[in-house]
Amino acid sequence: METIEALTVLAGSGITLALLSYLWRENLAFRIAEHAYIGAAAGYGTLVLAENAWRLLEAPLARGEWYWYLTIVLGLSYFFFFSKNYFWLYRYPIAYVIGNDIGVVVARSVKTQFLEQIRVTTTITDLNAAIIAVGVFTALFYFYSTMEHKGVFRGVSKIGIYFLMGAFGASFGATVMARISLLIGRLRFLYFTEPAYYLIPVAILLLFIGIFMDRRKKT
Amino acid sequence: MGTKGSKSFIEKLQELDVRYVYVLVLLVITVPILRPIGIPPGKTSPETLGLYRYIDELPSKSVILMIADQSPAAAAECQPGMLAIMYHTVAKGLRVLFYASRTDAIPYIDDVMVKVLGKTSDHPDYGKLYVNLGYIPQAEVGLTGLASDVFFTNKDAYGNDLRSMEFFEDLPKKDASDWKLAIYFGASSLDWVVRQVTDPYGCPTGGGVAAVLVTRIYPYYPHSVIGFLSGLKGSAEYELMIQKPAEAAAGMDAQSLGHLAIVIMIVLGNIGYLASRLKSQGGA
Repeated sequence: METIEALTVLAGSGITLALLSYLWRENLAFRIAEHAYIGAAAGYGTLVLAENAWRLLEAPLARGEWYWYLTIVLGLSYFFFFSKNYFWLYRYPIAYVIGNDIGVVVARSVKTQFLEQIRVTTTITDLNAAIIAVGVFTALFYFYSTMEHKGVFRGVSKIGIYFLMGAFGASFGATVMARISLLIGRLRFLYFTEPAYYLIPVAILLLFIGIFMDRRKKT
Repeated sequence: MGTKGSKSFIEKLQELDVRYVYVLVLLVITVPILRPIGIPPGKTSPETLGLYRYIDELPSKSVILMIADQSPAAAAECQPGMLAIMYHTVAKGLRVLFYASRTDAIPYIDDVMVKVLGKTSDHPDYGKLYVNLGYIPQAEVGLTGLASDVFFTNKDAYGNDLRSMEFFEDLPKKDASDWKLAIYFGASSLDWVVRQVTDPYGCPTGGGVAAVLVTRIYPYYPHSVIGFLSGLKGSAEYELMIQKPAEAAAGMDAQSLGHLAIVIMIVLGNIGYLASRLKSQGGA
């Protein structure tokens, strides 16, 4: 293994252990790792974005399409955020990006997330589809507050809340699964990547020293 | 309520320092990682099967778009699935177009290419069967641009001109209608792929997603999303289907035992809650 690669693995291992140390309590190692992560992510992101902006602009500018320079002006307008006098100019790129996003998203959401969902939910082909249709209808009815939920409607509303609870439970289970997977990924890296595991005894030693010092402070 | 000296086991359990729970979870997960038990994987889910069968039945040279949207936080779940699908597409002779929709997902594309092909842009089939477009900003807006024109970025991630690549030569429309499948890998959302690729161009969507996203995919499954890998479990299933058990399959013992430990703790927590409620009602 090359030195630079070994150092990269050690840095990854050290930062992983430092961030995991938060489970004991907030500490200096955690704060250093947290700030280093945010700084590195911001630096890396800025560089990649700048490189990509140039990649997208290079060809049209080479073809003499001058109006593409306007995008550079628009992008640089973000820096007016730091000016008290010209702060209003900062709103132009924001308005452009948000407007563009809304235009792209909303037009197609009507079909994908509204019309298509109604079509699929009301097309009952088997028992599962029927259960989904009942679930959607009763869950929606639970939030319908224009009329009082009495008699039969109380029952419908109650079925809706059971469906909602089921959905929340499934979502919670999936979240637990995701977090455990993340821990498995990190632990496999720490246990099986040389020289990542060299730092595990160091971290355990530091943890015990920390716990010992905490106890001494209390007494 | 009892005095401080006469606390019941249930009461003590409810006041347990949460750090003991962390240590317990750590131990439960560590043991099977270091010494695998070999818990049977169970029946393959229809979602994984749907994606596998669809890819398996595609004619060779069909184009698949792979969207890398996994952050380091989601990579543990998504990366094994991306690798397994890449192995499958290579075995089937399919064409793969990669792109990253977030800056921190860029290295995962190179990782997949290096692990499966051994090389990135130096590979002899690069530009013929595989192209990496690199990062395209503004997730959904970026995909809209790519879906309407495959030459949207002009160059690939390594600075090569896209128009000179054999990969795109026989594509009739040079837009998303030429693609046979768009697979999203990540944890944020898959709705936008359905919205910008499946509904307007008729290209079905697949997914290799973090488990947190799974409940948000079901509304699109199976009419728009033909199948997906549900977290580490889905990735493990796919690895077993292509007969290349790797990282995800190795993590399933730990996943199963970790879940079991959490289920036991939830049950204990609820017993404790009910017992203390009954006790307070009795004392009132």
